[in-house]
Amino acid sequence: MFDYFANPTRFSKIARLILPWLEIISVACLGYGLYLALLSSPADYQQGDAVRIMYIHVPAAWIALSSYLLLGICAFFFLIWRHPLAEIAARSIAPIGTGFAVITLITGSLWGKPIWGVWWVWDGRLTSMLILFFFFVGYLALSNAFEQTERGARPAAILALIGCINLPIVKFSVDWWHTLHQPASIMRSGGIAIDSSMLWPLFTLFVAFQLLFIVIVLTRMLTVLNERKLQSRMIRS
Amino acid sequence: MLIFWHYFKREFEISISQATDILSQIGFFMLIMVLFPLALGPDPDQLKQFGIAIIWIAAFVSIVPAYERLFSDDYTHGFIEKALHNAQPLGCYAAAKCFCFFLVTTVPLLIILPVICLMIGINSSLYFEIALSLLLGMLGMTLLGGIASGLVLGARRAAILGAVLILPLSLPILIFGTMSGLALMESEPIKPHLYLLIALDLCLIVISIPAMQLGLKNAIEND
Repeated sequence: MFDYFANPTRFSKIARLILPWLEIISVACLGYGLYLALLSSPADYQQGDAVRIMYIHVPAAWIALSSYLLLGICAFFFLIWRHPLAEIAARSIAPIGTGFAVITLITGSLWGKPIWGVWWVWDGRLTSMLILFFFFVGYLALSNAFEQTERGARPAAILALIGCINLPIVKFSVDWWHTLHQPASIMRSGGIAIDSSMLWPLFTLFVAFQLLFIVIVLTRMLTVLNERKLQSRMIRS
Repeated sequence: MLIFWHYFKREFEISISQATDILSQIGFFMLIMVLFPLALGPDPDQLKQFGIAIIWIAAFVSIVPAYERLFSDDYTHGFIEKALHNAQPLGCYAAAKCFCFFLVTTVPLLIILPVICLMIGINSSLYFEIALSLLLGMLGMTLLGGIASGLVLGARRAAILGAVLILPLSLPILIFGTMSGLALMESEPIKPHLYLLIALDLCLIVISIPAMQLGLKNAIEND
């Protein structure tokens, strides 16, 4: 099944077919989620309205983390089976993941100031997230550092795989060290520790961010595919 | 093993013939060390408190730009290509190269370390512990440098790119290394931190050799 969808022509055809629908659904989800998060959900009894930053911060962090994982998986597929589509996917994911990592860091900092009283602390979660951002930057720099762009693909893939060591550190940093950052409250043993009135907007925005991520990555992949097609045609003629 | 020794001998002779490189490396390290008292102020207590961290940072910052040249000379002279065509083990070559580079950069560092300790007022009875942790840390750094150097072969602005790749990866070594230093200053046991450094080094040996092999092979095949 994997080989079936990994054919570039078939991939473009299917992607073009589903992309408009995904765009509509993601924008609708984003609008509805933002309405829930910013207007209709209750303010926190301790944090007040500052808690609304969570609805952007947490989904962005999930997307940043999962997009690095996806980058690592694509790098693995590219290194082992040398599939060009995996390389294009990795190349398209990296800048988007960087963007979500930046959003996570900035919103976290904005949230930290009113609640913790500081913009930044050097604790495990914040530092490991910053390092994740640097790994994204390293991937982007390495994959674009060569005269022919295809030449950077394999070194960058190796780097992406090595960087995956950081992922469990980001995820479990709040359990391993006693940090200022609060521990996990959704995926934890003992069930969810968030009230459903806040969980629902969080979940909606998570779906919206995820769809948005897929839409941008697919668009970028289609663009790169077209670019390569154009290049090979220009060389031929 | 014999091939490893053969490569090692070749590398060692080349590095000895370019002894000025080693000297300038040490000079660079000393200069970075000088920057700290000038920037932090000459207060002995403060220098003593930050001393070991300063040594680690200076050692890291001075060595990182040098890694770019680890494979680039052999790459431009065609030595790696020749080794690949003769079906010689590239992993063995890379390991020998890293080990030699580690020796010729770290041993001079340890030789001048007592002087540095004097200058920033660290008790000289702590020298052997500091030297041991630095030795373990620099071994890990060299392996990371080898990975990055293999990946950036043939890239534009390879030196700065290599530094961007190495420094995020080097943070665990820096953390455990300076933690051993802190434990030393507060006369706590240093062994747990040294064991962690050894564990990191062993993991890096396992990861770095195939990674360097892949990087070198890729650089040759795509030219």
